[in-house]
Amino acid sequence: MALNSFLFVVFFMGLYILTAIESHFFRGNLKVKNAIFKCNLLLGSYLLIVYINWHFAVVMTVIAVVTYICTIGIEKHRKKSSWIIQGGVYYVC
Amino acid sequence: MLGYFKYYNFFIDNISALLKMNNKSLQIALPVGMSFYVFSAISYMVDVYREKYSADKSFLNVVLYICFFPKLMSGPIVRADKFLPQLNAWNSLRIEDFKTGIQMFVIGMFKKMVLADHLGVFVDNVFYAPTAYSSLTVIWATVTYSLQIYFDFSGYSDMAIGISRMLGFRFDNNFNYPYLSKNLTEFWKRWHISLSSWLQEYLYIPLGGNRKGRFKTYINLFLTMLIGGLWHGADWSFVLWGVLHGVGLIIHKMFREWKKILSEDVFETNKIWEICSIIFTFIYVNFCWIFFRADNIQQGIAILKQIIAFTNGINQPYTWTMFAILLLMISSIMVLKNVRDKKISAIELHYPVIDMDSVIGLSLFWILCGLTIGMAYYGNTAFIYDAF
Repeated sequence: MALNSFLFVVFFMGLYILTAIESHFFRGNLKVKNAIFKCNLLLGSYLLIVYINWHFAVVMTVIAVVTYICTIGIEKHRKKSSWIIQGGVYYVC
Repeated sequence: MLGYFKYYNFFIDNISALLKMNNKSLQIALPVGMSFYVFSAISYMVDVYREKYSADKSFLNVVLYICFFPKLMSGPIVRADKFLPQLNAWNSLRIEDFKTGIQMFVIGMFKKMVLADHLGVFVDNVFYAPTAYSSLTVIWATVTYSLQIYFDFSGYSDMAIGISRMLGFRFDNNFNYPYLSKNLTEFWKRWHISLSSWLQEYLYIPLGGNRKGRFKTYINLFLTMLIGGLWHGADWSFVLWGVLHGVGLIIHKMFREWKKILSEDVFETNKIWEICSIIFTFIYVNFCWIFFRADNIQQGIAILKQIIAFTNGINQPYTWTMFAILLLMISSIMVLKNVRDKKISAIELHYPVIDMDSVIGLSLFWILCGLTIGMAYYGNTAFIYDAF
């Protein structure tokens, strides 16, 4: 579905107000506030992409998972890291 | 993934045409912004591999880096070392960030909805049937397209960076008055900065950059621009656009070496030479945009033929183009003057442009909002870079 500017502004205002309210609620606990902020951003991003086409969210998640596994793998197995990076880059490309 | 979604049909179509086989292309929808987040993912993996920084252990952070919504659709391609530390250090929404961010957002909207979209109507008409228009109108349409793509993409970038800023993230600007460039090399340092720096760091330098002799440098430049062209779209017209930029960059590099041999700094200090360089660079970039905008190479050639033919045809009024040029000139002069006065980079100077704490500043902001809503084009227009 196409996303028009008006809908986007409404979506962003909602997300911003939600973040501001939560931020006020958890003002004493920075760690919780940061975690909630991240969850809000993630939820917002997925809402947006699912609104356009839910298949795209699957593709994006797969790329994120491959990226995460590859970077962790590179750090853990430095000796074999050239294979992992090549595999990761080939896969996402 | 990118190969399948973006290039599968392109290669199948071409191979089928070459071998005269039945076409087996598929109905594949390209996921929105895929080229952008794939490049972000590659840069993150390569940087971790190069030990530039360590991998983030939080899966949530990595997912957010890939799919952060303001930059999801058309970038900018933000690097992980810029994004992740800001994400982890975030502690609250700030009113200063909101004031700056909303200005960037509204100015971006003005660029996109008022300028780019109105210019697009004229460009679409001329590119649809170039032979119906007079040569002068076709030339004007190509100039208008250069303005349209600039306002469209820099508008989008301003909006994305503005939204990020409101949320507390600071990203670098993606454009720095590219049409004031004195040569093609400078143009690529000012146009779509996040992509050109990505191509330089993850493609041009790994290919060898300029370390392996003059000839290899030219080959590397050419390959980088060719791939850059193909990144924009799976079509021969984008490949040709990349080739033209590659050739242009090689010629400029050759010219720079020739200047070194002459050891003449007349080129650097002469004002007339400087203005001529800006005009010549604009004309070349403008020429390249023809193939970028055209649906295929044949249409691009048809437009060039119409320009060269100097024929009569429909003449269109150029109100929006003149208005856009006027705004661009005024803003360029203001920025150049400020850069000289304050001796700082033009990128730093962009925002905030309005002091929202003063009554005049706030009034100006609301006037800009009103103008954007009142003058916006309400037809069906997507961002040009959404398609990439």
